[in-house]
Amino acid sequence: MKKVAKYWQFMRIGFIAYLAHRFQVLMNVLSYLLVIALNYFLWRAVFASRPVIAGFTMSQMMTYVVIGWSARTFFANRIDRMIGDAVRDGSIVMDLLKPTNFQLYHYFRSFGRAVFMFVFMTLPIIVVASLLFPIKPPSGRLGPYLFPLSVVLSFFLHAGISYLTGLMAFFTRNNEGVFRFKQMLVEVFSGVMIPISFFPAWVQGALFWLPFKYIAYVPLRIYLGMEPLSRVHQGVLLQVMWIIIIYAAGQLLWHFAIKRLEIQGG
Amino acid sequence: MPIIEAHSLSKHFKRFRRRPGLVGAVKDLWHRTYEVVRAVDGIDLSVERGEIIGYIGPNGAGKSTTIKMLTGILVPTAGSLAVQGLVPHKDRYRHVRTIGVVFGQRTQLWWDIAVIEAFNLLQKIYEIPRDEYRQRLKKFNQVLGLEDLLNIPVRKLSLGQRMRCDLAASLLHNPAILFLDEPTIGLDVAVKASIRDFIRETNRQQGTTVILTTHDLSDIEELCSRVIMIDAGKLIYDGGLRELKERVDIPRRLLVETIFPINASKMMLLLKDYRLGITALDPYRWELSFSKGRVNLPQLMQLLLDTLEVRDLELEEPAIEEIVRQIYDRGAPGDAR
Ligand SMILES: Nc1ncnc2c1ncn2[C@@H]1O[C@H](COP(=O)(O)OP(=O)(O)OP(=O)(O)O)[C@@H](O)[C@H]1O
Ligand SMILES: [Mg+2]
Repeated sequence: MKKVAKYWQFMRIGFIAYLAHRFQVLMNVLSYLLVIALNYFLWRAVFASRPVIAGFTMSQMMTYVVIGWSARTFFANRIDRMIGDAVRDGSIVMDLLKPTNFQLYHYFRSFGRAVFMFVFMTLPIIVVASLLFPIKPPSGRLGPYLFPLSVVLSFFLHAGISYLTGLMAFFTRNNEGVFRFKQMLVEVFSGVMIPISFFPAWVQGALFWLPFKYIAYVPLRIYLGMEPLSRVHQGVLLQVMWIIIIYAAGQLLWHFAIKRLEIQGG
Repeated sequence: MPIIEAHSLSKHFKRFRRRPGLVGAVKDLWHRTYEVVRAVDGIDLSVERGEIIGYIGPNGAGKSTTIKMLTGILVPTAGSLAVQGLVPHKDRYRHVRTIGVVFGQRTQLWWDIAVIEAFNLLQKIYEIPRDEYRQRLKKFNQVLGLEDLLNIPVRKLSLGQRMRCDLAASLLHNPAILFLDEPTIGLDVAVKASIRDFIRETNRQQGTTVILTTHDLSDIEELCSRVIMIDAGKLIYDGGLRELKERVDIPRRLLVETIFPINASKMMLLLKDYRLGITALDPYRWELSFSKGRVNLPQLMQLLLDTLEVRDLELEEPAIEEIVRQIYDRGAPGDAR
């Protein structure tokens, strides 16, 4: 019970911290809508010549784009940057002085932020986008339930990846390069920009062994009902598995990281 | 049993040394040279429960580094350390539950959220029983005057306001040891006073052990019975404050400012019966330096007031840095343990 109250409070501050920025966030809604529109017209042009590409029909692709980019606002996080900044300016010491699991602190604090983003970005974007573009509702009997679950899992999966990336700040001075690299990997291989089925077979094969496609591609396939039920369950289970693996890796890396810590200043 | 015990505790940093110029920069690409900074170099400490200890020394002496080791943030390079029977960096999680820490330069609160939200979060993190939390918060509000600050986001607080909140935050879980690294830096007299009162009260009522670093001698004078002094990573004094001041003979300085200019020979003549060092800063301002106990200060001041048109008199006590300097230059005065 005490633990629950603690993580709830982490979420609360993550949420509250963004209330001050809600107008900025609404501006971001506009840029996201613009990106969605661009992607929409791009894909429409791609599909002009052929009805089905890489297993996607045009109307599935349109929904994929809108829901994918909207969901991105929810599962994005700034954990890597928060840790990087804290290591660089030394405020990491204040985190170390608190008797709490640093990793879960970041997961849940960011989840509070994600809830905020859901209310102030994801929902407005979906509402406006669904007025502008033809999108389908989640398909099948389980889609409406499993898709939200799967996206929440996406959040924790991505949080873990960002956490591991953030810990690199303990080992290198060139945080920015590491963060950019991770961001690039996620953008390209999560499937937000291009569905994984568009990649060459060998890339798809490699991606099977990596966590990235479970961030966006897998939940979106669930949304679109493109997988049989057994594959849906498998996808969700693999998400959970990756969350656990990355969490464990984070715990391990943390122990090496703090041994190396040499706080700058004061 | 001492609450803190350290034997030949050391922390050495390896610092990358850049070579000057373009040639140096290119060489650095190939082969980096490092220098070792002995930030803390073999110190022994033994602190009893309930003490308030002033931990002093000049800039770069190694105070903050010591505090970071005692709080478990930094791993010592060598030596042994036990705080309440735990090795801080190994048992970090259990250790930090029982200590409170304030770094004057940083905040343990969260920039974007209101003070009260941060306090509530700390309640959850430290699992402080609700009643206890409410009671303590109420008391802190009274003593530190936090009432009006609680709903303000931390980033909007002034330094003094933030420091009061930070101090309260560090004591919400009633820690056994409170580490304060320059808690009064940059604060005005009133805030300093309220913070000192608060520390003193907490120590008296809860028996909290306090380790305090500062560059403000008056902090030490008001709070600490014991002073530990460090310079260049080495312990150079450990003992009472009074003994320290008595052992070290540092001139006090009296600054005299007059309305009319005075020439040197007149000043010399006037003060010939006193054992003073006399320096003219300009014809209106004179610095008289003397050892404590060698000069009858009231009498001297009376003489100055009677014979000169005095605009201002100012007495300067030796700064902590000077005491440290003197001890360091001469070697430790005896009882560095
Ligand atoms: N992360 C680090 N890497 C390299 N050197 C360091 C590091 N941290 C501290 N030092 C060096 O260790 C020495 C002691 O620093 P420390 O911060 O402990 O001094 P301090 O007594 O707290 O000084 P101040 O009164 O200025 O706060 C300094 O020479 C400093 O440059
Ligand atoms: Mg310091």
